[in-house]
Amino acid sequence: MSRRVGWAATLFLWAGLSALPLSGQTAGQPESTGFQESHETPEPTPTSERFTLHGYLTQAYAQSSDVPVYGMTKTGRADYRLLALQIRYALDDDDEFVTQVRHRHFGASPLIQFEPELALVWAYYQRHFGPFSARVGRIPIEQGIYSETRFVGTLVPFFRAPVTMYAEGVESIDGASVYYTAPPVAGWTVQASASAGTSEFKDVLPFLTGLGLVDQVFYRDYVGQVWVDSPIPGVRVGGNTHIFYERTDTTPRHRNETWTLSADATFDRLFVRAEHNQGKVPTFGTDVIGHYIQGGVRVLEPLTLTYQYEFLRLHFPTPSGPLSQRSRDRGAGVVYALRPSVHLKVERHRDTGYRFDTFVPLTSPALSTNYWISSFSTSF
Amino acid sequence: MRTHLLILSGCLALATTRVAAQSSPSSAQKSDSFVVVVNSANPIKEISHADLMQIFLKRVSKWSNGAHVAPVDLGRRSPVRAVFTKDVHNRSVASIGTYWQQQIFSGRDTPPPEKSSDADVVTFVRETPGGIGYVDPDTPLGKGVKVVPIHDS
Repeated sequence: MSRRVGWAATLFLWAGLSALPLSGQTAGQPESTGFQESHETPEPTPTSERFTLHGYLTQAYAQSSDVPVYGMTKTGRADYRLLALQIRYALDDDDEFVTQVRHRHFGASPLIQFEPELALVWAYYQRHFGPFSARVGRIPIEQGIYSETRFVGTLVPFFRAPVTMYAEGVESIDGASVYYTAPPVAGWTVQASASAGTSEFKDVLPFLTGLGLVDQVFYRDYVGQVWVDSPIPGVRVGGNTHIFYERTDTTPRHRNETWTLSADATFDRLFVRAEHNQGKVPTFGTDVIGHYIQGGVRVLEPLTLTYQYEFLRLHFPTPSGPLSQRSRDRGAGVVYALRPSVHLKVERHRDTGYRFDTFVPLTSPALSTNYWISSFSTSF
Repeated sequence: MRTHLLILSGCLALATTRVAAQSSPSSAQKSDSFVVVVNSANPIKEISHADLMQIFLKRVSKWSNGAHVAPVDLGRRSPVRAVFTKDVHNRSVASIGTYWQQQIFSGRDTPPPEKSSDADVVTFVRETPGGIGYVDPDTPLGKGVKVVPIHDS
């Protein structure tokens, strides 16, 4: 689809958002719960109040100094945008339908060929029962700190969540999940979730002989996530495991495993977050280790300084012996919050490694590039 | 890596200094600045800080008698809400707003409804059997709403 049509879809969607009542704070009110002593019988909640609408938008300008990366080129591009609309409909206090559609564009990234103008990213039914909730349909994968919110510009300190941990193509599962919140004990709270189903993986990855388009179905996909909230507000640690099976035309069925450990300390004026991820494909003797640490401090009321370091190591066998490939990304930025729901960001990164939009032979030395992104984000 | 740790340590020290310098409501201010109200039909006689936090983060959905818990907030600019949020969550209103953004965009839940005045909160609680809110202590309550004392345990 042409760029003009892409913008038309964006404007159409945004116009739709503007025309509808923004009911972010007016979710369906509870109905009568059967208190016999109640003084009044509440009126049934109007249908219009059962709808809740949320959304986010990020528009960016980006440029890379030497090597094209994540769609950025040497000439600079303004066609970076993320736009999503979430609609919830509450059947009653415990049951609801949730759907989210998204439009995005990543400059000149080869990933664009996988991206429809409007993608249905979530569509599920959710039921709450006591400390549990269950979802059925196309559900977000719960993995680490940013998996579900990776594209929400007002929630991530940089334009995008760390690539080391939040790769393309691992966002949702067609299946079911269960979520549990344990009662607090001495200020500690445990939240756990488990998901199972099938998922799609679409990405452009460097192989031995060139960049490869990967478009696969993981037909058995299991995800488990645990979060432990400490008695200190804003401090939590988490663990995640993700096991999935894939099969292609040229390879037999094989199992992939990843584990993630997360630590998150978020206070009013400061945050420090770190995650470590380890994965392997035993069939092929491939393994990957990645981690990042990021932090930020609000030095003035609207102004936050941010910093991030990412590291990724791929280890895999080749005809001439095992090969290790290391990539690093260091970034620093400034976030100016006009309002909690409106952010301006400027960031600069130094990326060294092999994962670029043009092929870098894995046996050659790593390449480096500097890239910078300025972005505007809003959400409601 | 050492450079990164030094930068983060510097940020931590700076933020800690600023957090310590922030003025927080005194305990006298807190106890005088809001009261927690529930529907008169609710059998509870008192409520703990910990339970209030769980309720206003929507981590509990039922009262002990099975009724649906329906918290209601004051608007984000309300000084009463600022004191309540600091006292119960030990966080700022903006910080709790970020928490709710995360809940929304992870598809889990939406925040409690917000009311623009204490009178609207009282009306909501009166009309909602499982309703719970907080208002300025001088707010007229009328029938159908009662104050529940807060305890620390």
